Amino acid sequence: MSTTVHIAGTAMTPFARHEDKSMQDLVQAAVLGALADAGLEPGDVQAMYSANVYGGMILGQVLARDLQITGPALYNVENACASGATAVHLARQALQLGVYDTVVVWGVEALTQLGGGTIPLQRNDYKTQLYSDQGMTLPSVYAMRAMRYLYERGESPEILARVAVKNRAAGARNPYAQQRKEVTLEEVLTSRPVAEPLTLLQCCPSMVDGAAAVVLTTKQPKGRQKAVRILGSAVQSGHQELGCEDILDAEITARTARKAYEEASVPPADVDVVELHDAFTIAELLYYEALQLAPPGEGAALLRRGDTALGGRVPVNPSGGLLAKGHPLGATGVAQMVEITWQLQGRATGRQVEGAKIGLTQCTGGGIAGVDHAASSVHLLGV
Amino acid sequence: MENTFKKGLDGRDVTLLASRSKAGGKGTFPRIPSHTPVAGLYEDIELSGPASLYSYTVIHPNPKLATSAFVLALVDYPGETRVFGRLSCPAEDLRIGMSVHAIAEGGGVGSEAVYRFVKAEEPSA
Repeated sequence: MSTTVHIAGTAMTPFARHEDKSMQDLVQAAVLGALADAGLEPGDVQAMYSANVYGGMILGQVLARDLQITGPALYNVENACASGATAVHLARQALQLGVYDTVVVWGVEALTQLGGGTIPLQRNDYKTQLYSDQGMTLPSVYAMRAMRYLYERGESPEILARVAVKNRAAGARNPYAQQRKEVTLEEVLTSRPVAEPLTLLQCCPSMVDGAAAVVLTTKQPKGRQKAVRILGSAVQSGHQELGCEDILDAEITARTARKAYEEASVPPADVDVVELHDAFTIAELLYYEALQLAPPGEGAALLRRGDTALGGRVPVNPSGGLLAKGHPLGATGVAQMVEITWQLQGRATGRQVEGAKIGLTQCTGGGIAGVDHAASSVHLLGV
Repeated sequence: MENTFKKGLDGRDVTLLASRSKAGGKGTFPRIPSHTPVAGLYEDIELSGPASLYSYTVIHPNPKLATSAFVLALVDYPGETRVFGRLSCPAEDLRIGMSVHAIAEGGGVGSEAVYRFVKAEEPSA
């Protein structure tokens, strides 16, 4: 499948508490924005991919109805935090196979209406139900990873806090981020403890709503911006966890990244900018190594050297990441592609990674017990 | 949900009921339900005695909930089986690698007994 798939248009709403807006409002803004960016009309859309987690049955059709893009195939996609990225992956497959030549993909989530707090785990599973009853939540899972990380690597909680400081500094430059305030190491470390060693400022906001959309096409893009290509796209599911596995080995993410790098014929060293799934600070440290941005055991050194900060060798989460931008689950994966596309086109005002040619996005979604995450998706984009 | 443990003679210490994959020999908890089509891929095993604390976290509930902090743990049993659960242990005593064991808690009128981990007694010098 060598057909080139372009990201022809992109748009997103700010990630914020949109209590006065419905998911329809959010998606309409994102989709119309992406079509305008692509220089296309609703009638050019041959299929739609709608990513969401908590919105319920046939949400995509609800969201598309008033847009008057009805009739073409509409695929509702759910894969936890990787929903948006999975939708892009599926759309790209169809485009490469020649089923369509132009499609729109959106992701949306309205978490504010859930009232905040931790995201519920999947409950249609006896094992997840038992562990939820014992107290398992996503923050607790990541916190136990963080505790083990500090133990094995001989680190102090400061290394975790550094991730929050870096990403929130980037988020302060991004008008689409929910939390736009820089924070100090001390503020992160002394913020309210949530799940030791994680404090509040090390957890992504859960009271957030937003939508993002991309137009994908196999035609030459009509928009005024540089054409961005999808060079590699991979989705994997998590292996059953048996025995006593190493919880610092982000195996599913490493496996997914290898597939994406291979397909794109891009070595990790060629990546200029990354948007990764920093739902909690520890995640970013683990993903440095899983994505081969750092050799095994050297993720903390990569961070300390400033290599992943704006102005560093390979800036990670110039948008502020989930920690600053917020994490409306279904929208996150698409929003990461919007950010990387803007970075590659040179229009990430205030946070631009100069000269970026290749970018990577990574989303890894969890929510059930007994697997090393449920789904992971990695994309490589290039100009 | 099938039983996840059985009580010992003292009525407090428990044996956790788990499964072992016939393919790789590694364990999983809770036990794979016996009525499921995949049950034949596993064999029953029992987890008892001391286990090792692999990792933990102290959860601090939102202050609005006015709930006390509590400990959650990943515990490794000999024979390659990991179990998640609550751990009753003072925060200052927590250390990765410490010995813990499972007990039954609750089970009074209107409530079901659940397993919990507690710190194992240190062997006397």
